[in-house]
Amino acid sequence: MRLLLISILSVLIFPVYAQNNYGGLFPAPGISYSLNENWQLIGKIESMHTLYSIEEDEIIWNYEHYRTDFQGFISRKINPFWKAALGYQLRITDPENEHRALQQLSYVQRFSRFRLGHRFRADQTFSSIDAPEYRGRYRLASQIPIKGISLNNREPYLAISDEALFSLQSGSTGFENRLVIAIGYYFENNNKMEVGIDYRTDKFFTEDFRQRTWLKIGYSINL
Amino acid sequence: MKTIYIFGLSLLSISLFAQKKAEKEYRISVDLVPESAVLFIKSAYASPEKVKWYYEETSGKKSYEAKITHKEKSHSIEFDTSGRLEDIEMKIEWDQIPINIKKNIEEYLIANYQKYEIQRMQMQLSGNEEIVRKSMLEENYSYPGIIRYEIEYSGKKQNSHELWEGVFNESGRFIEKREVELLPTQNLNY
Repeated sequence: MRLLLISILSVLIFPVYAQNNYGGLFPAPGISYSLNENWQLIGKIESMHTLYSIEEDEIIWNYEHYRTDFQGFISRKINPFWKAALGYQLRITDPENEHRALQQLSYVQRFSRFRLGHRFRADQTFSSIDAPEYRGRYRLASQIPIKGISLNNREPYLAISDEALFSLQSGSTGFENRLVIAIGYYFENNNKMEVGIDYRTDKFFTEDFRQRTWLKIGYSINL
Repeated sequence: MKTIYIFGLSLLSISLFAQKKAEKEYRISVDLVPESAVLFIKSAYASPEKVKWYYEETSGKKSYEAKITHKEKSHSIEFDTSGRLEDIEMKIEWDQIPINIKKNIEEYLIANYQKYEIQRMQMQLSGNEEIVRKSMLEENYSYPGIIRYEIEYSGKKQNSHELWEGVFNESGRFIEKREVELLPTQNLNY
């Protein structure tokens, strides 16, 4: 628990010393519906709202809608641990909205005290003003019970994930990292809530090195 | 205190007809465990140093469970709520199962699934408490009728690919199975 607090504090304090950074609130509700034993529909909204930015070591508080993503997926179970999914995302943002196609393979690994989720994803983003962007992504996510020895309903857990994103746009490559540390809770009906810090970094080794820190509040409903 | 603990525990709503296995475990103090269960551990394992006790609910069934490491193997010893021994489970590897028993288990899996993959295995000792105790102390598991094999496997059929826990007898003949219920993976996948 001490390690978790130190990690969250480090993420919150670190942006103060950086040049290109901002952050705020990040609500992310999701819903999934099983069509049958193998097929599932997933809907998710990820909405980012900027509350602060840091300019010349000074924190400027200012609310602004950053972007809102509407995502829809159809998922097929390959076996109890592997799933394949295809998705579409509409991003509401300025100056132009964006469209994204997504493809992913995910795998859940069980251990006696925790579980790990591996996600391999590719996406392609299109808009009327920018060249298409192609990305390859890998995310490793873990859920570790805080109480007891196994993940159970009505019990809290620690959720830690890190995702590496490689991008290609108009011949230029880029790299982004996303670290999330959150406290989660499984409700009796398998709904879940996660609250934590989503810390995103990109444009490494440039003057524009960017850090975005969000207070992420996720709620997932399983129907 | 025991009443408070038990009052605080919640039941899972499980459909018995679906025969799904959903397990919850809570760490508890030895003071809350029936005396006969504590005495069994002391006698069968010659007073082991470290015993972790849990209160367990599996598909609505309540029990007490002791977890110990014995000769570098993980043992789970399960008792009913009155403290009577239900079984001892020891983690084993596929290679540790005798060939003729493996052959029978494989025959069942091949006959019932297009494709299967064994995930975890446990050897289970149950039956007469005195014989199980003797078997543990002598490390002799050849007493008739006390061994079963609990195999967790994923099995693919025409329209389904699920995770199962199958129980096989001392010869590797199928006895029963139930589906293992996994917590949703939405947060790990999206």
